[in-house]
Amino acid sequence: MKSGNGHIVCVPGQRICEAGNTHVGGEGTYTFNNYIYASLPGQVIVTQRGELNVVKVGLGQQGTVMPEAGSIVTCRVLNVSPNLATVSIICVGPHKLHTPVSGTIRKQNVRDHQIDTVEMYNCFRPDDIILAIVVSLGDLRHYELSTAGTELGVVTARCEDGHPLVPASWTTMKCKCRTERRKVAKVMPPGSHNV
Amino acid sequence: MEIISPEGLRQDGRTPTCLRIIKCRLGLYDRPNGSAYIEMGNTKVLAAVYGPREVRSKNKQNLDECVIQCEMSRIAACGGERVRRARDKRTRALSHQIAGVFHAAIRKSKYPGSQIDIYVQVLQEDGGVMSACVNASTLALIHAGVELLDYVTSCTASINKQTAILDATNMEGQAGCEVTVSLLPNKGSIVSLDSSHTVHRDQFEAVMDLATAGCQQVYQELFSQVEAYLQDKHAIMSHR
Repeated sequence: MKSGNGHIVCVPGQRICEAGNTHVGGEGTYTFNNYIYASLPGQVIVTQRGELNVVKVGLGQQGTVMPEAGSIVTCRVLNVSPNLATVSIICVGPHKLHTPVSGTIRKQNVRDHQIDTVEMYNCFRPDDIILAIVVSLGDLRHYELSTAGTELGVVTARCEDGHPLVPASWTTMKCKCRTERRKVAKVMPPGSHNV
Repeated sequence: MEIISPEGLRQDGRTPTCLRIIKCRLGLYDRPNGSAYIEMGNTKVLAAVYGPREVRSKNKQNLDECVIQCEMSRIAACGGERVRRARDKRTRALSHQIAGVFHAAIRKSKYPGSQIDIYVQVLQEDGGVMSACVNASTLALIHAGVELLDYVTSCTASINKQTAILDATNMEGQAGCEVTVSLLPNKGSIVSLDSSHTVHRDQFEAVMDLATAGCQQVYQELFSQVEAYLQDKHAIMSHR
């Protein structure tokens, strides 16, 4: 099936080509009876890897992104308790998740130094938008996150009256009426992340 | 009233081996990962697919494969009689059957530890509800980008005085039996076969062959609609 600009478009179950020494199936395909079949709708992309041609099917960026250990995620704080903060992960790197997944930040993962003196309520408040790094996949329900590092922490927040807060120091944010305590992130311009 | 007239035509003017008109649309809603609407004659069905997402109940979780759940409901005015309960024993049995069909088609090992939910709502029923639900769910799964081994297409056939008839309406189905066949059209393998009443063994072969041929016709229909949808989408994407 050809689309207007010369790309081959296919649907699940369609036979693409013979599998052999020159062609192997990649993402969005499966091999059955020595033939490569599509298992996703989309465009057929053939990439060369050494002597092999890898056949992939997909709709470009639409694929599902999930957080992995080490990826930087954007989250919204849902709940803050003395020992941990519950957040919902809304973005992984530049990709928005279709459905938010939940994560937790433990007290000992908030910052690098003076771990014992961390008070969660002076670091995060519900509804803050924070940047964090995924430490591990955690238990079945929550990703384990960390905000240790200068460029991780609260990015945008509002004070108790709803005014937007601006960073004032590493631990405080200000609005026109008051000063509140947060674990503030030093936001880097996009593209210069190298954590 | 005769189901098949002396000229060999049915009430709605079809020949015994003719399908009703199929219309479908992909991507009606934003909230589910995939959604589709299908109309097979007067049978109208909406399907929505959520997932792959986290498993809700821990004891159902399977770390090798995904869990597939299906829930089917009917709106109150979908049939001739007012439906009191959207979900009853019959719809629950049908939804188990639909989930079973997709166990054969979804590449479950690709989504370990997650869950795929299919919600089907019958807006109007006029024979072949189960097959319309299966076809709608297939389209919704394709729209959601779930990895499938193949399409699943489904079609019904019935028998009326020695003549096998394809895609029976409610009235035609009541007179005889209603045999529903679900098929993986590119593989040619039947994944589900169901009959609403008893069929005579001599007639069974003819009915099933007709239903299988009907599935292939449904496939051609769905294929062209998905093709049009993809090319629309592709045209939009390549313009960016």
